[in-house]
Amino acid sequence: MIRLNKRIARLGIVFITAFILLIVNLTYMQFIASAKLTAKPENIRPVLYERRIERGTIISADGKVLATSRKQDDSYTRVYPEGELAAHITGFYSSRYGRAGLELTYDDYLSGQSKVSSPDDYMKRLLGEEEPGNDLTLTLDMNLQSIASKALGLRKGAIVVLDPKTGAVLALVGWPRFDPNTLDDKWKSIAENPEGALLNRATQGRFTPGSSFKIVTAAAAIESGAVTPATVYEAPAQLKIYGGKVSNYGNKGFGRISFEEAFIKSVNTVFAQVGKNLGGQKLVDASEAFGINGEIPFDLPTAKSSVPEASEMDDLEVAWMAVGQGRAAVSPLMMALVGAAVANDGEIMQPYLVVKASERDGTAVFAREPRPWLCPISKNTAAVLKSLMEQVVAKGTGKSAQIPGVRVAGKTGTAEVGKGEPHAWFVGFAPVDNPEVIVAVIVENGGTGGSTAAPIAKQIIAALLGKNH
Amino acid sequence: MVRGKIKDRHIYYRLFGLIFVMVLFGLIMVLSASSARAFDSTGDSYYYIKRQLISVAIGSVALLFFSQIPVRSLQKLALPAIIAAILMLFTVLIPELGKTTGGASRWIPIGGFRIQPSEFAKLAVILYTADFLTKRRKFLGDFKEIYPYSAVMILIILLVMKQPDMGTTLAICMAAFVMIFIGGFNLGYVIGIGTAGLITGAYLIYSASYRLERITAFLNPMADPLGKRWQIMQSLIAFGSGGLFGVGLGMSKQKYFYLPAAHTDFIFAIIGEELGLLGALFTISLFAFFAYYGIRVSFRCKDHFGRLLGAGLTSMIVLQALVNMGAVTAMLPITGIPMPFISYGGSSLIINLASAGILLSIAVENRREASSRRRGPKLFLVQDEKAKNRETTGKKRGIRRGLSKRLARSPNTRSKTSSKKSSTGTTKSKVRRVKASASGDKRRRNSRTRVPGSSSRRSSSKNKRRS
Repeated sequence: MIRLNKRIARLGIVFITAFILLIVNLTYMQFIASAKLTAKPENIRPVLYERRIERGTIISADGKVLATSRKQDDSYTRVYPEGELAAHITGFYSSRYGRAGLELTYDDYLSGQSKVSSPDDYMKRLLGEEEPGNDLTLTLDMNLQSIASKALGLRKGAIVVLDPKTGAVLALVGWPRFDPNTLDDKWKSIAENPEGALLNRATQGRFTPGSSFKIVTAAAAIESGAVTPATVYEAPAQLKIYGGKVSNYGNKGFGRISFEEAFIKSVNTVFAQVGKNLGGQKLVDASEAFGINGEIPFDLPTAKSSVPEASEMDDLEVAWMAVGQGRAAVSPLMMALVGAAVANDGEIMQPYLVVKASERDGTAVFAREPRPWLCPISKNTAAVLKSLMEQVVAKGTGKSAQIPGVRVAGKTGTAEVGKGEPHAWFVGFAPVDNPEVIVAVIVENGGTGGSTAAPIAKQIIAALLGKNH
Repeated sequence: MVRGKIKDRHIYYRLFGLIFVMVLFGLIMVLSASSARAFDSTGDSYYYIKRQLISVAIGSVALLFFSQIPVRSLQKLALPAIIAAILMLFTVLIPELGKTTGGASRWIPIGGFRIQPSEFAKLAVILYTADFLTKRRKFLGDFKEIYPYSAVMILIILLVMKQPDMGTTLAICMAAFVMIFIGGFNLGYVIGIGTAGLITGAYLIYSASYRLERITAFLNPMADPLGKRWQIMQSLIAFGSGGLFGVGLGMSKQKYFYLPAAHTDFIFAIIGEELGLLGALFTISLFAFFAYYGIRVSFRCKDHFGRLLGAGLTSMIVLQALVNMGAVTAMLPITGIPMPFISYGGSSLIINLASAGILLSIAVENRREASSRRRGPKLFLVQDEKAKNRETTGKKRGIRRGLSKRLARSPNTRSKTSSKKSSTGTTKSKVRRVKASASGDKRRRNSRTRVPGSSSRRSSSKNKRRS
């Protein structure tokens, strides 16, 4: 009997311990971690709640509906009539997997959240009599988008098309992509796609720039005054620097050539010397002037393009960086902006996608004016680079971007990447005298820039200018 | 002697009051937590609460019924009960008789209601275990003794798992284990059984969780759209939004389909959200008091069977509450155990009320027994003499104070009972008895005479002043 009571007492102790643990945990959850718990991303109450609101429509510049809400019973479902074509731009809106793309960055407008300003609005919201969210109008040209998308085809890569004078994004293509309409059903295969279907390569991909980076190197050299197009360099097939060597594509020697010719033919050994003479610091400063190593203010999430710190590089690395190899990594959007600086007389306009957000009755609640972002080079330098880039297309590595009757300027890039074919780059704009469009193309493991990327850019430029003229 | 009686009466009424509060609180919370779902699925916001009220009515009858049945008669019911439970558990698995919904067969439809045999099995197992351990208590040093018992237990556990009903299986195992522990089994064996049980349990939950989730998802896809993790996240969000004082009764947002099973297994989360930390602590305190009274009732019981039964029933209810609250607050895995007395669910509520009835019966028994012992000619009290006696010993034993204080608070009961007693007794005999007990049998004094029913006037007046 006594033993029995002793054990009952022990049971009581177990109970007391359990109750105390419970009380401690509860106090922690409800008193200390309360705010943290409420802010959990799994708290989709706002999302589910919003399903009762008619979310705003996203419309392209040419009037195509990219995303809209359709009523189904009591709630709205999100529909993307253009399917995967604009998937990386609109992103998705899922009660299960959250939001991405413009659905995320412009959520306040699309859901009408930004409108709650008076108690009346709040009452209306509680009573479920909500106004629909705001509609977004984009700069995106769906016609161009589909041409660009076809030009890239089913090759891994990305295309950015901008208006250099305003910064308006005309097309933004990436492959692989996904269909936001079937996201919930196919989430597993989309999210686990080894090629990264959810990744918006155009803004979030980071690639070795290859020779397209020579625009930056040339800009730094010309801007410093040490180099003019006429400066003559020795251009051997290989150049020994600091215990290593820099070699030309195809191991080809050029003899004594001018800087101009070196740019046109994309001669690595010349640019290695230019870079070495400039020094790492000047090269890094020039890159940073273009916005590399910084954030690009944009309507979609962007990856930070980067070059290493000057202090971290030896001469060999500086030389390789000058030719666009090594540890430099840039996004296609960044390269388009580098080209835009040249096209727009040295000034980069801030890129944007959303022109305005408006209410159903057309009242604009948000409107965008083009505005300058960076001014990395002088007007003169820009003019010099412009003519250099024009000759690249006229008689250099970018011949395949030539369009009869249009002066096209550009720079190819063939970025060696450890294994497989090199990445093919092309950054170009047209017409040279009054640039209306700048295109940056990357085809991953696509071969040389001249043979793979330049023809894609040509198709896009031709389509756009052909329509305009 | 009269003291014992008064004290037990206290426990009886307090336990009764506590259960009343729990059921009432449960009704309020079920009404609040279920209204959205009820309106959505039936168009009547009060659908669930109406059904729950019927269960409360039936449960109350069960409670009153069992509180009147002597514990010894209950012991006779142990074997029939376990046989009935096994038969019912078989019945539920027969497709023609059991109600099968989407792969889980847990109910036998009778009239407009469905009864859940596994809930009844809980009670039956506790009765049976108490009976077994009582009858065999002399032989518990021998491990072989447990073989026939474990055969029955394994059969029941397999039957319940076959339904499948992991929550009830766990509840049965926990209660049985606690009883084996209390029942005086060799501690080594108890630890051995516990470890084996834990390992099998972990293995079963781990291997079956995938299947189980699929079954529940099939049963009601909307109830669990994102798996268990979803549920627990929503539960934590509920607690988080509740904060210290809660969002207010009836104001929960999580109950609007964000939190599946808001009115059943996860009602504690709604309590936390609507009534905040204070409401949650109130709920915990209800069960803590229940544990306290339950253990005290068992402690005081003279009868081996009653004591085991009391401890078993108390642990069944308290452990279910702990496991439920632990799961809802993400301290334990989700097992599908509802919160006793609070959660929606008829069979569970009725069985819990019946269990509470049995606990009350044990409390009454303690009283009965106490008074029956007193009924002899020697048992009657003369206050003055005894009070002196008490005082001297009372000072040495701190415990008395608290008890005399309680007495001081209820002079009515005391005078009533003592007058009743004194009508049948004589002064002298009482004095003799008290003397005998004060000097004599220590154990007896410990358990009974230690309880000071009539303290000295001085000490009671002291307490009055103090309070």
